[in-house]
Amino acid sequence: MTTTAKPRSRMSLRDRIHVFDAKGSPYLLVAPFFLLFAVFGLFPMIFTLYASMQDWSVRRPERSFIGLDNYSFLLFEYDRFGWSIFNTLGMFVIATIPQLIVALMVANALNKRLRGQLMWRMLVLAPIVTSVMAVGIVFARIWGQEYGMVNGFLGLFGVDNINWHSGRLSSWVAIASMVDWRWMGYNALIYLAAMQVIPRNLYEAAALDGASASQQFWKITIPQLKPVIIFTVFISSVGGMMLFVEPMMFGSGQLSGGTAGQFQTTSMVLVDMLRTHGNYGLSSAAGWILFVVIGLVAGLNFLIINRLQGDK
Amino acid sequence: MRMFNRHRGKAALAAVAASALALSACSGDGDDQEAATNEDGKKVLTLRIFQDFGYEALVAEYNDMQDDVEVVMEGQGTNFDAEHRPAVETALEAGTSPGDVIGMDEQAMAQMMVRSDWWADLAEHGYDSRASEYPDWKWELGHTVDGGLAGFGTDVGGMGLCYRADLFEEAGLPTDRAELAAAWSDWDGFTDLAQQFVDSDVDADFVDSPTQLQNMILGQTAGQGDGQMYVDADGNLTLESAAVQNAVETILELNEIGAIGQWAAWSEEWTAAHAEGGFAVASCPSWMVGLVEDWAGEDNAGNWDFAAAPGVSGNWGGSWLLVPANTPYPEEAAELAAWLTAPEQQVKAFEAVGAFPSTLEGAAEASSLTNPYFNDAPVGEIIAGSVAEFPALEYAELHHPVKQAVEGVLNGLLDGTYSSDEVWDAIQTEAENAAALGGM
Repeated sequence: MTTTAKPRSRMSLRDRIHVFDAKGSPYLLVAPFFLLFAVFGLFPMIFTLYASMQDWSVRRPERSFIGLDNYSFLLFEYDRFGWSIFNTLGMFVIATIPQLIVALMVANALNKRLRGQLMWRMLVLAPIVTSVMAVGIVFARIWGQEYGMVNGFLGLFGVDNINWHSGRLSSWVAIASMVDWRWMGYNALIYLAAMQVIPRNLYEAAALDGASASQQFWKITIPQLKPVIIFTVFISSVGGMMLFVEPMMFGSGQLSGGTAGQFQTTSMVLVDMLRTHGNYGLSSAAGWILFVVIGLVAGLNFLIINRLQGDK
Repeated sequence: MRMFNRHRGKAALAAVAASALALSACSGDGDDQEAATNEDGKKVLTLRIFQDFGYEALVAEYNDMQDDVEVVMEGQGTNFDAEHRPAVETALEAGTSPGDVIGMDEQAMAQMMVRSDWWADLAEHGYDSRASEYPDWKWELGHTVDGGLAGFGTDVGGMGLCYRADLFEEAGLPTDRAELAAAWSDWDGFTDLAQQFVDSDVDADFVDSPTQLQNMILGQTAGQGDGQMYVDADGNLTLESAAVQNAVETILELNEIGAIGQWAAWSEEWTAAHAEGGFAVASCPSWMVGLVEDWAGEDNAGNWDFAAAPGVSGNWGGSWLLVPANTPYPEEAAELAAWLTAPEQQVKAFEAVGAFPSTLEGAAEASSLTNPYFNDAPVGEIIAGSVAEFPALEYAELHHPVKQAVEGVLNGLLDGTYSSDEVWDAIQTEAENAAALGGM
């Protein structure tokens, strides 16, 4: 015992620094992220959990502990909350599925030899750097009932002005157009980057064997992109479930999401409770339920995508 | 070796937890606001407003008069409900400063005055003496539930109707404001004119939106009657009140004949329609006059006119300048608020944006003023007439959120979400929800 312990205690400062460098420095390097996460991620989450169990309104100075009352109000009494989850999921589905498919096709096209390749790639990315507020304002005008471009175009064929805001599906389509316009290029670029690392010789071999372009796409490109597709689905799920600015701007900055909440997302309900009603407790509870729902949706999507492509 | 690593892990976790705690502890100390000074050593006062108070020139004038104070105006053009009020509430709840003087819409005053702890008591600085400058009700509304004087009223929402004389002429309706005021001296007369306008097939709606009408009728009926609107001070819904019944039934009737447009108030299309001729009549409390001029633009000069409203007397809105308790310069902030709301400055704001003075002296002076944009309409006289008997409205703490919920239903009536038969049920449900969310 003692003999094994002795050499350790006799370690020189140099040795100690060396040991620390090998064992400790990785932790130091990752520490900044975790410190920042603790302050801006973990602490707010725990505080929100605390707030979600309080009867806490800006309308009065005192607050009190009420257990899970806020959660049960949201889940069982407040209809708009349930509908908002339905709306969010609906918009996610009609926005994300076409978006990722189109992104894949665009990436495939950009991966071919094109004139002005760099320009096309830049253009695809351009929507991402525009302000989401600006996008919202412009699209709200495009989908306007009286002075909107879409209705103006349909009017050429004798279609009466459509109130895109009043129907559930019509408002979702309008909002999905905003989301897709903004994020399609982002996903296309990720796919493009992944496509460029697929070894050329796979395609050459396939071409020699007489595989057509579409066979190459489905049998080589898609399977090779699997990890990246999973990544984009995951990111889109999280983003889609937190959809907020687009529907808010579509509804002229109102948080009620249409006259009966046709396009009110869960994030909008959350912020509505905070801003319109000053109810910190309910808003926090809504935040935690949303957190769980996002986890479930992202997990489910992961399973589906993994299963779909696992067969290939 | 494993022991060693696990120790490290725990130590790291403890360090993280400790620093998180330390940081949160720091943020809890933010109650004492740091006093802001600029490079010349002047005290910097932030005046935080919303929409347009017409203060640009006044702030410049004030800064020229002061040796040791510089006023910075922020928030001009922001939407009250979507941006301004939530930002102010969040800042005050978190213990940080939203500004040294805060603009506040009258409809949110009740919910603000519940929080006595948020506001300074200007009586401590000797401003009790201003009581005689105001009508009693306007003065009283500026006090917190504990009786502190939180601020001063800027304007009152005297009522009128803005109308498109060009569209009226096209529809074969009278265009003279006195003639119109006589024709729609009550809401039945208004409905008759609406019917005539609809029958004329002019390509525009008669009146802009259901919610603007609702606000107008609500204020009128409540002011002339028992003062009861959607909800009482204890948070009980009062949907059977004369004001609510009158407002909703009038809207249902006008909608039946197709006289109301689908222009959701404060939407992009609504503001654009002021210039495009989307509708012929808009509810115009005094503070809307300046906005209509902005939105309709120079091209429409002379198209818009201004007449007395049906039912004439009434009151919708008006604003306040409040001084929060956590300002480092309560004395200077109070002085600024008092100066901006003095009769002379109120008249200048009226000339700039149409906000009608709430002080007795200011109102008397403004009532002789005309507005060139509206064919030189005697806007001052018409508005002064509408608030001559100042019906004092009591806004309950939950008034604002409940009203907003009802407005969603009224817009839904127009876009086909609800049929006329479903409106009352929907109002009941949405109003109950809003009351529940308000925690009362």
